Parts: sequence; C-alpha cells; structure tokens
Amino acid sequence: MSFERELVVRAQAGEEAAQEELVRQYSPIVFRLVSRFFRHREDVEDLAQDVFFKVFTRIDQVRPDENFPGWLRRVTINTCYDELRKTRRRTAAYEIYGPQQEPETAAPDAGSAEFDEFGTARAALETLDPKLKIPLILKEVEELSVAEIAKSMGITQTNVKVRLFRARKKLAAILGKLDGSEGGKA
Amino acid sequence: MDWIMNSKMDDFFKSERARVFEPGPYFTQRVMAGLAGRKASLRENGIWDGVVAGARPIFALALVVLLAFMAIQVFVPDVPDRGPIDAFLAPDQTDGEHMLYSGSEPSSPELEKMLIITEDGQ
Repeated sequence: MSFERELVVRAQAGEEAAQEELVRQYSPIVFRLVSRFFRHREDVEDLAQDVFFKVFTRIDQVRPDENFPGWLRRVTINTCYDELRKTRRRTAAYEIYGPQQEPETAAPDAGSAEFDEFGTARAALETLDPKLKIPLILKEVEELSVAEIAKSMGITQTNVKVRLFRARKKLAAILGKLDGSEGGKA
Repeated sequence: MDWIMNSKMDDFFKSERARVFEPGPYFTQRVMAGLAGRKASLRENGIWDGVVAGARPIFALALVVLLAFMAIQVFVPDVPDRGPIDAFLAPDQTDGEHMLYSGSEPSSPELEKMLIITEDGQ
C-alpha cells in the first residue's frame, strides 16, 4: 500500500494525525487551484479550509482504487464553482436592489492604479459565467487537458469543448465591448 | 480563435499562472481546529446542525409526514377487510353470527357454550 493510500485509509478511520498530514501535504495543491479563481488571500484561505472540511466529511467516498489528488481536485473545483455562483448571484442582486451608483464610480477608472495593464482582460473574465470561466481557466492557466478538465468537472469531453468554445467567443465579445468603451472614453 | 492569438490575453494568462497563494504557516492548525469545532458542535447539537441549512425544511417535512403515518397506524382502529355485501349485512349480524362468520374465537368458554346452546335451540 502506498503512503498516500495508507494516509487516506487512516483518515477514513478518523485518525487525526493522518488528517493533519493530508492537510499539510495537499494544501499547496488546493491553494494553487483556488488562487486561479479568487484574488484575495482571505477568500483563498477560507475556501481552502472549506475544501478540507468537505474532504473529511466525504472521505468515505474515496474508493480504494481512486486517485486521491484527482478526487481532491474535483472537490476543490466544485467548491470554487459553488462560491463563484453565489458571488455572481450576490453581485446580480446588489446591482438590482443595491444603492444606485454613478456610472463613473461603478467601474475602476482605466487611468487609476488598481486598473493595471490587464484590467480589461480581468474585468472580462470576471463577467463570464462560472460554467464557462472554470473550464477556460483550467485550460489556459492551469494548462489541463480536455480529458482532465472533463474528469475534474464531472462532465463529458464534448461538453468541455463546447464550453471552451463559448467561453472564448463570449470573452472576445466582452473584450471588444470593453476596449470599445475605453476607446470611446479616451 | 483570434482572441487567443492576442498577445495581451496570452500575457494575461501567463501572469495568472504566476499568481499563486501559498498556505500560511498556521493553515494546518486552523483546519484541524475548525474540524474539532465542527465535531464538538455536532456532538452538542445533534444531527440537526449537520444537515445543510437549505435541506432542513425538507427534512422537517419528511419527519412530520412520517410521524403522521405512524400516528394513523397506531390510533385509527383497524377495520376488517370487508366487501360491500359484507358491509351491508354487517349491522344485521348478531354478535354470535359475527363471531361465526368472521372466524374469531369466543372470548371465554362460557360464551362458547352459550353460543352452542343458542344454535342448538334454533
């Protein structure tokens, strides 16, 4: 039995030392993946903690022949997806029911320090639906293959390809619109 | 896709690859403390806190329905399975006839004797 498998079996039996070792060993992987979707350290830490809570709640579901890092990646991506959806819903609700803002203050100014050289690209990516954003980031930033993305997200490879195509198309449209409005401002 | 050829977008993804947070020195302790807290809370508050908040109304409803069915089983008397003709004739049956046709045993030997005598008398 490999060391990793042994750790998982001991963690499944409720051994705290094994759980602690799993957190220590796999937290860099979880942090790296969560960092792809969230920009603030506090958010990343909170989500990584949530991921490990879920991992230890569902650790009995890890089959003896299952690849633990792959399973962990799936749990992490699902947790990020849920959070992105919640954030999106909150943002949409705030936009509809929140206090009205002046259009000038709603988006960071292109000339300000917080709107750096990738501001437009980042803003475009932020507006994408999580269903499209996640596969795109996994492909372009995490450099996973279509098969790996399909496995991590629990969808078919065709579905991944369709989502990637739509994400790129939508991103191009948003970028075009944002660049146009920036050009119009200047 | 022409946008992917866009060097700006390509540079953006490259910069994103470099943007990685590392776990802090106390992250493991934080997770273990959180896990211990959750276990203790589960022990103190029972399984109700373990149920996801959104699923609680469904659990509560399922519990009420289950209890209602159990109450019906316990409190509503068991009516014998009778057809419409049996049900129509039932009020005309005497206690003796009812016992005879329903196949139940008389509650006491005296009652049994009495029934036999009545039958013989007829």
